Amino acid sequence: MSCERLGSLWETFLDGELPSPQVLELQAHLDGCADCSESLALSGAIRRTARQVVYDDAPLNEELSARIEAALLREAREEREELERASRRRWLARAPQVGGLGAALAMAAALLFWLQSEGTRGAQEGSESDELAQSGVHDDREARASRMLGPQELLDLFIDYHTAPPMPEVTEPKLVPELERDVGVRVPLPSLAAYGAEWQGGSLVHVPRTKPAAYLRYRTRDAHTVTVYVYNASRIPLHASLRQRMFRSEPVYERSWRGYSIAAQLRQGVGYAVATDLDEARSAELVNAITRSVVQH
Amino acid sequence: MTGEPEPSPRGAESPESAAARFTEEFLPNLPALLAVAARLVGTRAEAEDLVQDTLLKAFRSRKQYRTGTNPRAWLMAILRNTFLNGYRRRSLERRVFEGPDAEALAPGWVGASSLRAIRDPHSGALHSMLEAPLLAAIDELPPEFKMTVQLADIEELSYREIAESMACPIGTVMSRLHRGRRWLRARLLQEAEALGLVDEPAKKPAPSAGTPPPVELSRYRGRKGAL
Repeated sequence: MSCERLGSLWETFLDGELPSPQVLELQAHLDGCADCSESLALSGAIRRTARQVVYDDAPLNEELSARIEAALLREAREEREELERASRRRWLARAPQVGGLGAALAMAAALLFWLQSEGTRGAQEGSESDELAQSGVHDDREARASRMLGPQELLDLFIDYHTAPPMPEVTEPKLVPELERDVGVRVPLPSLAAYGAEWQGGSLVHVPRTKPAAYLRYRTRDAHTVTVYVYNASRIPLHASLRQRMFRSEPVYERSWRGYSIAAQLRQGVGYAVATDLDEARSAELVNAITRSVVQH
Repeated sequence: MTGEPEPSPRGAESPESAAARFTEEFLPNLPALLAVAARLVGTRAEAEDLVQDTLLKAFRSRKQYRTGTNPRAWLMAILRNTFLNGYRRRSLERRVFEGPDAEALAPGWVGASSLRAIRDPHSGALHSMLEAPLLAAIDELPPEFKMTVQLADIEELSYREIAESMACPIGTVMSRLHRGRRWLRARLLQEAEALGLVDEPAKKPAPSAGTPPPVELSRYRGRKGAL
């Protein structure tokens, strides 16, 4: 490969969008060409610096976050009032003809509402949905879907966060415990130094209908990304999406999905999961190292 | 809520809880939105307004968000539209790239030792004297180039996600990245030379080959109209 040809490829390479045969070709060239290696390093330096100066130039302040949250709430309230007005209009328009049926509808709505507020706990409790079906009100699958994610969706969600990482909220180890308040379980900062992985930052990731999970990101020396999740396992049944096997005489849950692997273990109601682009066995080994280190401390 | 008529359709969540969920899911992107907005508009106040408008629009059209796609790419698309529909300022429209995609900036045109001199060997970042010139150079890029470069280099979105955010084909993303970056690089090298960081003269007369001079938009339009 000539320097000329490389010149048109290295940006694509840095963007992570170069097909692997060309990556190999490019790496072979880089090994022997000081000019190109420097040039590549410069591109990396520009990106790193651009990120820093652009973010430094637009610092986030508390007031802005608060102002936007308030504006969103105002918007929601207006939306709700509009819905209520619309619903009253419909009600008034219908009332003269329906008579007694109106009362029946109101009762049905009340029953549905009661069932919704009661039923939050269980995707596993089949009896409720039977009751609902028998009562002739509605199949509640839809309502339930809006509350809890299915096993597949949960798995997808955790892989999504691994592939599209959120902005780190904490980058200092001593601030990691701050995440606990939201997550609701103790959040340790496991060391993966023995595996050549360095911690890069942590944040919270949203899991619909329950508390967030803590998200800890690591990077290995050979540029693999390792995501560690810590969460309340009784609220987030991720392990139910995975396959159980024994690992060093302990159950570990693992699965390969969309080209990534994820492995989880539970300790006293706390879930620890590792998502990587490595194979299942490596993920399982990492998660086991984490749970063992957590118990030791 | 007990005792009130149920205003929303069955199974739908109330707008308030939707707002809470939206906040949790999308507000973590606030720093990124602000960073992009600050480069697109002139003042901090305008940037904050642009971001707030963007998030309100996103909230109103939250049902259009496809779960599993990158929320940041979705928000950036809305930010861009909001910017184009009212925030775009004449001052920023002034320049646009033109000219053929001239010869690629051959990596050999400045020697390895010069390139090394403009980096900080410890941090892997640029020499600190080049930080301000880099920000200035980014600001000089036309908005579409600037945003494309920013989404790729700073937000690390994929080409596909950028294409969706910018409502353009992937080929356009790649071409904008190529030209935008080449220009930034050339500007930095010029600056480095001016600051005396690079003492070795360029092997090739680079800027003329590497830097497509930005031109007035009116001229560009005139040319386009003539085609």
